[in-house]
Amino acid sequence: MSWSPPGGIAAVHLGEIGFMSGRGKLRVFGFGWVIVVAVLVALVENGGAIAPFTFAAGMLALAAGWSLLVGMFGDAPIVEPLDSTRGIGADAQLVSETGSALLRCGQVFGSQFDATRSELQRVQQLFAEAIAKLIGSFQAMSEQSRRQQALGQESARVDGSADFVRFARQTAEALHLFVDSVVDNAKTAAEVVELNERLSSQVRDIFSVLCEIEGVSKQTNLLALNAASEAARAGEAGRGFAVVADEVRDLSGRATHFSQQIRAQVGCLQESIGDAEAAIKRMVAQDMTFALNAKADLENAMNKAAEINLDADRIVTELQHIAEAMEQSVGQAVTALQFQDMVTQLIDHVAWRLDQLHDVASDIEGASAVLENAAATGFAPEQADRLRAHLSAVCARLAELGEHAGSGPVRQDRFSSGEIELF
Amino acid sequence: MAKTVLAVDDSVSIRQMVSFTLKSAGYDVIEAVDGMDGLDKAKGKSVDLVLTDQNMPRMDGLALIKSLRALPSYKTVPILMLTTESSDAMKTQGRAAGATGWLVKPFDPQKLIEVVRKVIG
Repeated sequence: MSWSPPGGIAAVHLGEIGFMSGRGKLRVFGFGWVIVVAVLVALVENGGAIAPFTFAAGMLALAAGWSLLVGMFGDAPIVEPLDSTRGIGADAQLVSETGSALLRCGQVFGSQFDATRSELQRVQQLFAEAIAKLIGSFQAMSEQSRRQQALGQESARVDGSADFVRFARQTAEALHLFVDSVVDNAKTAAEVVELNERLSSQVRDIFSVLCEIEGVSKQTNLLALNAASEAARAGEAGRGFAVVADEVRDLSGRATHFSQQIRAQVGCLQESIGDAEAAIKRMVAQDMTFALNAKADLENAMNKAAEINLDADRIVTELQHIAEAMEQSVGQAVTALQFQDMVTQLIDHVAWRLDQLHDVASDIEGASAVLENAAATGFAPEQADRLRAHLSAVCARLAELGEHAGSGPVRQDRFSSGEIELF
Repeated sequence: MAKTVLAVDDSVSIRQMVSFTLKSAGYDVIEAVDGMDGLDKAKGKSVDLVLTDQNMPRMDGLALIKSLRALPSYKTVPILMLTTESSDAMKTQGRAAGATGWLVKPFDPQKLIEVVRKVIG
């Protein structure tokens, strides 16, 4: 058998290309093409009358095969020019290695995403527990602070303070009246003492008069004795005179007796006056001392009450300032404690982003597995479909992530209260 | 008699802060954990004001507003949104749904009390 140049030679070379290129489809096509050409050549050699027809059919088939190989009937040629520097086996090896590397990336990314998601969940949980405790403590402290303020305001109420001041003033007035009364009493007592002294003086005068009376009585008695003796000397003629003298002596005796009685009574009177004077003096001294001490004590108490009043006013004012400051602090705390909600939303959104990236990594992992398999066994149609499906899913998820790149549930980047708008 | 506010939010801390703030100002507060819970509680007891978040599970804020406005007893009850959302688009949707006002979180307690007093006294 001899080969019919140039068709046979060209066909064999094309078959060689297909067979040696290393791609599954092309290898099969190349092998089949060699067989077809070999049959046609045999027919040409041995066909005789059909040789021209056979030759034309062979050339036509050659042209069609060549066109198919260079991709005139499709989007891309089945075969690509060989890189003379690398060789067919190196491409497969490179694809395999790339597929393995991407597969490994997908697996590692997946495990990292799982770990990150798990840590985010722990953060959420710890955060929620801590905030719950913080809010509970804040509410308790706020309630106790309010009760403390209420107690402070109740104890420093204006009505109570006014009652105390009024009570103190009334007490002071009463005490002043008492002191004045005591002072008046003292003056009266002094007058009484003076009267007593005058009485005593008069009593002394009475005693002097009594002495005179007693003197006169004695003289009278003596005269009566003398008269009696003269009457006795006079005898009968002096009998009447003697009787008179006896009567005079009797009167003198009685006068002396009365004088002594008066002296005794006046003596008792004088003693009583003295006792009264002493008692009045003691009473006056006592009252004055007590009143002066009470007055001094009351003035001290009033001064202290005034100081307490001033302190109370100062404390009330300070309590009001503290209450206002506390109100502001409570407001700031209420605003700040809302960050749990905002941070939770942000963490949820981060978790969503991670889930999306995890899905992208899963698709890349799937695509990598297809590439790795194709590097070993060649690209079957179903493998190409799976690869396209994975790549399409990756593009779709990346597009969705791109749409949400600048969005999120929380736009605030600082912790100040938000705006308010009434429609 | 104290006015009643329905506070709807899936965040425990927000519900607690709203309740703490408004109760200190003399209002009664009913709490709901999401839109569905809020709708149930609004049907069960007449309230004077609804304060609702937007992003909630089961039923979001806009859906809650629309559901409430469909009820005869809630056609004129003030409904305020209290949310982290601040975009004009969302506010437009809220107004269209029937919201009375829009408050952006975090809220200042004094300003919240002022707004509530302005709306319901």
